Amino acid sequence: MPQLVKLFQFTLSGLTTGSTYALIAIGFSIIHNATGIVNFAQGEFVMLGGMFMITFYGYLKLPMAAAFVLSVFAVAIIGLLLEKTALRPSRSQEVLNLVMITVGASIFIKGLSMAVWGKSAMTLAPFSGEDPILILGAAIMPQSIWIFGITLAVVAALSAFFVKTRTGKAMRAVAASRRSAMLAGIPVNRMIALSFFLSGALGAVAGIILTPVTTISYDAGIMLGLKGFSAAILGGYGSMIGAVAGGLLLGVLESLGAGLVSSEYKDVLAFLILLIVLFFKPGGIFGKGASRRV
Amino acid sequence: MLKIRNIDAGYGKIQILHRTSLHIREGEIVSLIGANGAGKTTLLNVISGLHPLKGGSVMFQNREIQAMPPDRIVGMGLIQVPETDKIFPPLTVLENLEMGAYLRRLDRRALQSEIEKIHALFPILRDRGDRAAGTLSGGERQMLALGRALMGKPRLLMLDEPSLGLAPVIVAEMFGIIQSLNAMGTTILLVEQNAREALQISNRAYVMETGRIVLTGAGVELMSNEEVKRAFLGNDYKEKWER
Repeated sequence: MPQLVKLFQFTLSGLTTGSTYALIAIGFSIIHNATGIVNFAQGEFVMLGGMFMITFYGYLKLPMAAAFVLSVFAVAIIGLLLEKTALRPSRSQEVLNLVMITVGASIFIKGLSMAVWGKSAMTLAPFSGEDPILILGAAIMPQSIWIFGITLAVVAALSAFFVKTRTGKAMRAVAASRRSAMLAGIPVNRMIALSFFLSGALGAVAGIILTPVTTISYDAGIMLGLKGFSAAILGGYGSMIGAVAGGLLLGVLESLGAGLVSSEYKDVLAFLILLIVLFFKPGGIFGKGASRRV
Repeated sequence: MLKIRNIDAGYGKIQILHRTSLHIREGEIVSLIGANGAGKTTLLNVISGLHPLKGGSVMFQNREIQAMPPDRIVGMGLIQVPETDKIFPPLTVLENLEMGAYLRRLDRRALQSEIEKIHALFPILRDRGDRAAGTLSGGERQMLALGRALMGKPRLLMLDEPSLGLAPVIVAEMFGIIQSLNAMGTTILLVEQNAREALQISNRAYVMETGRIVLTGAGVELMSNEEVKRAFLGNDYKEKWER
């Protein structure tokens, strides 16, 4: 049965990276739902999360929990600043122009990060040891369990936020109809700012939990962002369940592809899947059908 | 209560409103009638802060509101029920109502009692509470939209075509509800194509044509105006021929 164990092993490690793709994809979705734009700086949020954690925890030796919270908060504030200082004041509020601003912001953040943290890849010690745990013959790293657990907690908390709280419902209302939300008295601009804050926080969490597994460098954001974007498309852009399903599926397919075919093609596979989805089912797994009247 | 002076507004180079002025006193029902494209909806959107104006002023309760964001205008009790895009389709009926009271920050109990009031007015919304608003029929949506607006405690309620697309029985019911809301103290600005019913329940009315107010007077007075008859009360005009 070693073949079966191998498959199980690949699936587990796929689910690990897939969890972080899911978090990145949710970040894309939240901003898309509030504003209609694709935020190409989403990947930089992930990179920044890892970098801040390394700074606070690795260098400044803050307690892990404090460093975690501080890093998430720092990137959330950066998300907020992106909205308030770059997108809001833009004279044109055309979607395409706003998207280009996020591309510019992404390049800016990347450059600044290179100046601050240097060019070499950095890493972080796993949160609790490196002794693998054996499940059904497959080895699972303790960090993977952290990744699953934290992702699950974040997704559960977010779901509750959107369904139970006044602010969460208001964010869904803005996503449903911005105009209707304004007429109901919902401060739409504040909800948009909040969506950037949340997406920054989500990206940061993904970066922090992923760094001990993959290392992080100033230019890691683009690839991570594109993976999260592909996951969002795969699941159905704008849908939270879709983002989670798309993230996990992409992670597993990538890992199986790398394990069974060749790891050379790992990244190619993600984009191949993206293209296949766009060709045959542009709405994604949980999407609302392909056609939309304009 | 509401005083609009010399408003100019439009889309790009196309001017829609030309020095439009009107006023509404507390406790009144005022209707605004006019053909499609006369600028009625644009006027409401200017008042609600959704559409920028190029000139003129909007005063509500003696305060200039033309530079305020829409949520602050709602917060002052000036609430619009739009003609399209009036509900949040993916949210449940209950959540839609709750969002109408967003700015009031009610606690759970107060919110519940406000929702009860709306349910008493529109019992059908109670049965539909947990369904997505997008599954409602046209008439139910209109009631939900009105219910949501009432959750915000309006002082002046602006209704854009509340009878559009409704069955005749429900239209009569809708006008009855508008009258009783007014009797309970809400001032009403009614935009209608259904001119006859609107004029019947209005204290005063304005007639709009290509972005200009062309006629104003008491509701019943306008009903007998030849010009209004010709333009909006088509069937009545036939009587003249038959006479």
